[in-house]
Amino acid sequence: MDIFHGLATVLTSPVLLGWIMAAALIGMTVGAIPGLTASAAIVMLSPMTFYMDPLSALAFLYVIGKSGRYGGSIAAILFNTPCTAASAATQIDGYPLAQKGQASKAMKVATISSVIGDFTGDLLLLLGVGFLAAIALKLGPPELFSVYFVAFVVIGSVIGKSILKGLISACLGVLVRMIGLDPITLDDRFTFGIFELNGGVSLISLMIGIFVLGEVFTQLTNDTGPRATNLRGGLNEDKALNRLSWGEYKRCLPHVARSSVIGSVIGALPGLGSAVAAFVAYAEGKRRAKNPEEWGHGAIEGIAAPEAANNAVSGPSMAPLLILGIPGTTIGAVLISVFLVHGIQIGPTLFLTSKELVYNLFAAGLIGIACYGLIGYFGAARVGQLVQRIPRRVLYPLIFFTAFVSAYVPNGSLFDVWAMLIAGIFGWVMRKIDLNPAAFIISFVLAGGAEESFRQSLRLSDNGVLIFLERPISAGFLLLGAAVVFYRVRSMRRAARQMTDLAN
Amino acid sequence: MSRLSKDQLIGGVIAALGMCTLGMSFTIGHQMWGGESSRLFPLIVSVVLIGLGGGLFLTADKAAPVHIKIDPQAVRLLCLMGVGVLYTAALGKLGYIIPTAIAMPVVFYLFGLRSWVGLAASVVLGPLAYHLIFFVALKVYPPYAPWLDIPFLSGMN
Repeated sequence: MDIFHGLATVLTSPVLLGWIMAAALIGMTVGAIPGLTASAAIVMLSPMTFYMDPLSALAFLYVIGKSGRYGGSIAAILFNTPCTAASAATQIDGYPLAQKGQASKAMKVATISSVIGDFTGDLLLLLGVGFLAAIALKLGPPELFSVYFVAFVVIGSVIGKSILKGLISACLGVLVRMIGLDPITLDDRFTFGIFELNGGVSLISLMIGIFVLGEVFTQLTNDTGPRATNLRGGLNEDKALNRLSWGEYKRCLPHVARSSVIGSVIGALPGLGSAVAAFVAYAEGKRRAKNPEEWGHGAIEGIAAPEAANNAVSGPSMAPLLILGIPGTTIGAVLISVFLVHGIQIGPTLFLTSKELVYNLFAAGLIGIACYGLIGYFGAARVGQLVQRIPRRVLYPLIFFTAFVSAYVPNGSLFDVWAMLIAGIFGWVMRKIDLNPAAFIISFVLAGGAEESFRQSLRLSDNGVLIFLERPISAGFLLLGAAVVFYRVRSMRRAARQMTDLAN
Repeated sequence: MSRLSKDQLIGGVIAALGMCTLGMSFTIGHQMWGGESSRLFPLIVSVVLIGLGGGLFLTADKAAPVHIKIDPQAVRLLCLMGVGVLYTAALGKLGYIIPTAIAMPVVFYLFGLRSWVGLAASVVLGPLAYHLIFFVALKVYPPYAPWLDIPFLSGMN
């Protein structure tokens, strides 16, 4: 089987193993720093991976993404400061348990659950991805465009609190992607006569600006930062109280199993992401728990469920990315740029042209899970102490300057640096007015493929845009997109009505 | 006259942006004899943007008019953005090391570092570290510095 070849390749390459271990540590540390996310780290480091071989580059960034998801639990449990929305679910029971002097136990539960969830997600990916790729090869331009359309609609309407603002963010992303020469007719679009814009706006510059520089601007105006709210869960705590026994963890296993499946299913759908998975898993776990009154007050099951779901998202989120070129997460959007820089075309033909690379990448992911699991189980508290020691007045200026040089590195172009700066200011504005940067970036990435398949479909069609309704799979996807928006609007209206009733 | 709320303002700006891009889309070349063209997608997206902006304007909560206040944090933020602009412009004239050595202590100061030793160290150590990592270890070609290129300045090249 291909995965075993992949494991053999990875395990017999010391350099690659070194990159994977470094990625596990970097991701966990960055994920634990409030204000930074694994996405920001991946975006900043991706230009440096252009000098690496394709497998090392992809494995490095992929494992940072995995361990960064886990690293968010460190800040949530130890600092009561979730770095991501997903780790906010872990914080509900994690921090109360840390306050009882059992932070190490909480971290061990989070680590084991993350590892099990991540492995489950990767296993389902390995079992299903070849089959899905074979189906994807049969999709024509109308079906592909419909899938892109659903992705736009889902990402715009599900991410964030406002459907209109999410869809506006998605539209803006598509519009910015239109800048440059048209790939078919070479007409210039929105270039204003600027020669450097003929090639369009660089994805790396845009992402560094929006996610990294935009965050630096936001942090300058925040007075709060990482602080040691409570590191009684450090090395001086009661060891007996923090020992995790098999009997204790056995109670968590049904929750971990259920949450892993929830996370895997949600991860395969573009746009939903770890936060949705973590909270759905928490809510479902509490509903089925034998001790629901303990949830919210330090129940270890309340840590296990969201952590398993959060990390189970990682593997299956690669499925739409690799098969259709649709990134469901910002990490996926960065990985697309790395694939393209190394000359690898993702999409349905990837499994025909670069099958070995793909399975080597999956194998690297499995090894990465083991790495962050070991580091986290024995060293999470030390990582927390390290993070505490980094003052924000040193960290964020360094990130500021790293963003500038990272934007310059890919093409050696100062125009990219200007683009990054403008994107950074735009990213800060987006955060201020509650537009969604993730929807913007993902739509930017999808827009090229969507336009290409749309125009190809019109060329094939005798009836213009009706081709999208004449083909059943295409029509089915369009209906799915409409259904998602309908249910989202309905659930938001229901939630608003409940809030009004509570207020009255 | 009642003031606009934040979402009304955003909706209005988005709709106006959509109208601008709609107008610009008509300047993109099109197929004279039918068929799909390079202006089709920008036209569609512009129309959708106008619709979404208008929708946001009409459905916005009108209760909270927008207030723009300039406080010390806003001033620091504007300073940081200004440093970014000047730094990028300087990179194109003076190369990497000199602009970084000037900008680094300013940015550290904006983020709250007040130690003169730390600020002085950042002038030397910061540019040196970045230069060694990116331009020596990774062998990235540094930005050209025309203002430091004497033959260029004297017109001898």
